[in-house]
Amino acid sequence: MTGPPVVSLERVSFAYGHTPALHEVDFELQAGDFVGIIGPNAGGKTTLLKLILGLLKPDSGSIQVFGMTPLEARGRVGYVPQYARFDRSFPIKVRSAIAMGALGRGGPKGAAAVEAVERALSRMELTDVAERQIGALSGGQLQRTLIARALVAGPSLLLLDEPTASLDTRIGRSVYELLEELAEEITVVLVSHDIGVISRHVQTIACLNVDMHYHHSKELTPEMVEAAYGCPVDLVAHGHPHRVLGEHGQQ
Amino acid sequence: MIAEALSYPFFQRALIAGLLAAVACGIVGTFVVVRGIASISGGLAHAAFGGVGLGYLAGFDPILGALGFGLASAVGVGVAEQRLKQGIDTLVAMVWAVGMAVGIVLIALAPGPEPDLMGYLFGNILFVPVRFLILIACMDLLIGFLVIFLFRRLEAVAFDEEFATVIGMRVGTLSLLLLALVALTVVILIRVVGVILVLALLTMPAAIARHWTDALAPMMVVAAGVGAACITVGLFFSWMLASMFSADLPTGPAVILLTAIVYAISAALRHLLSARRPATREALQD
Repeated sequence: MTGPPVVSLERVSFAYGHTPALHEVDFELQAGDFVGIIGPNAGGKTTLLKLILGLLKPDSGSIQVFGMTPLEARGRVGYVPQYARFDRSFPIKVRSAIAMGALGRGGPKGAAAVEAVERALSRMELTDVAERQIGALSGGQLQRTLIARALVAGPSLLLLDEPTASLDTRIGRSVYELLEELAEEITVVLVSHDIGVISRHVQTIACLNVDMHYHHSKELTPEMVEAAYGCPVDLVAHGHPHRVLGEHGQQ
Repeated sequence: MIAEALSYPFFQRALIAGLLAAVACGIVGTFVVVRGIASISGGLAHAAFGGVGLGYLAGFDPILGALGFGLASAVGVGVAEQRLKQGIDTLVAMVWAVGMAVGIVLIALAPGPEPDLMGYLFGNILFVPVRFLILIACMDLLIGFLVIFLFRRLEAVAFDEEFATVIGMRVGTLSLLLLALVALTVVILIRVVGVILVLALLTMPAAIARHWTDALAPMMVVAAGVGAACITVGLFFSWMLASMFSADLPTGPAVILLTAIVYAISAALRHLLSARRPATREALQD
């Protein structure tokens, strides 16, 4: 790999008032990584994404994205917000919502933008619902709409916040399969409190609960999980290659 | 009787003013409703009243004073909102009340006879001068041009401000521009329905339009149509009452009450239709 790391955090701390959200976090992502960050609610996962996106400024430490500041890197980073927090009554069609992705810095213009929107629609299997208002979508479809919107600008890094409830796999592939496919082309980071789901799909796992535990591997040690969740969790370190946790987390 | 009304130049001017105002309130009201900035808009309307007072005191057209105060407050509130992130509610309340206080104080200081305060508070569409029609037409053109030119961007910022920020759009500038458009619209509407009733025409036609449309552009068109219809009917209605019973029914409040009735009917109809057509909800359940 040449060039700077995709994301590099050095001793980054952030607090909301007196409540620490992140404590001296070191974290480095290389091109092509597919990382799942797990941790309890209020463990700093969304805060971490917002720092990488430049929506928040760290209290101390430094953050670089593609060797630049987060603000300079805007336009190269795709972002998929928590879809559950979305105002689904907003009067906008799927196609227009996705086209929004092209309006940013470095996004495609004119005919290239139209083409990028069509590509994103078909890749996310949304062509049939392109003219629907977003409130008339299922959870999975809305999730895929938000991913498509992020992809329109052709990002090199994709950040996803809690894409958990998108498991309606009745038609087509699940969001996770689409993400696995995407991860072969670009760097993908997803954040979730759901260990079971995340661990089956990502390449490597980090644990975050104010402190970050990351060893560039998919192995979750009991110490990592215990540190992150503050309680022991049963782990199975062998068996199915994509299975990290026991029945416990899989239902 | 309608033909008789239309034969009076003052009535023609009132009708034209109403129709021109409906265009602005359809376009801008749609953004006010989907972005949830009704209370900020109310604050701007009342702040603009300060400018009315300044106009009387300094001897220029009070509407120009309202325009100046409205735009200045839009920028002030918008910048404060971006800096403070919270507490906008209190700020709006302050702008709201202080604008009124400034207006009343300046009018009291102004020499000469007491101006038509009721006209500014509750509207005075029946006596609009031709130059005001030209002013509204110009503002309509400006609002229409800006919104058409920046439609995708304004829509994106209204839909998801955080995402717009993350992809490097100029969210701050676009938000300020939207508030400035609200200020322009508010000033137009002050003449039609007055400072106190502005909010109704800014929100109700768009809210009615939202019942029957699910995208911004058609919502704007329907809202403008609903506004135009309500203003027209309200105008004729108060004219008829005045000529039949020589009852002096103020036009502004008549328009507002009519729009409220249309809203209630529209909401009830929408509710009945969606209850009887579960097909539209099917997708929500999978």
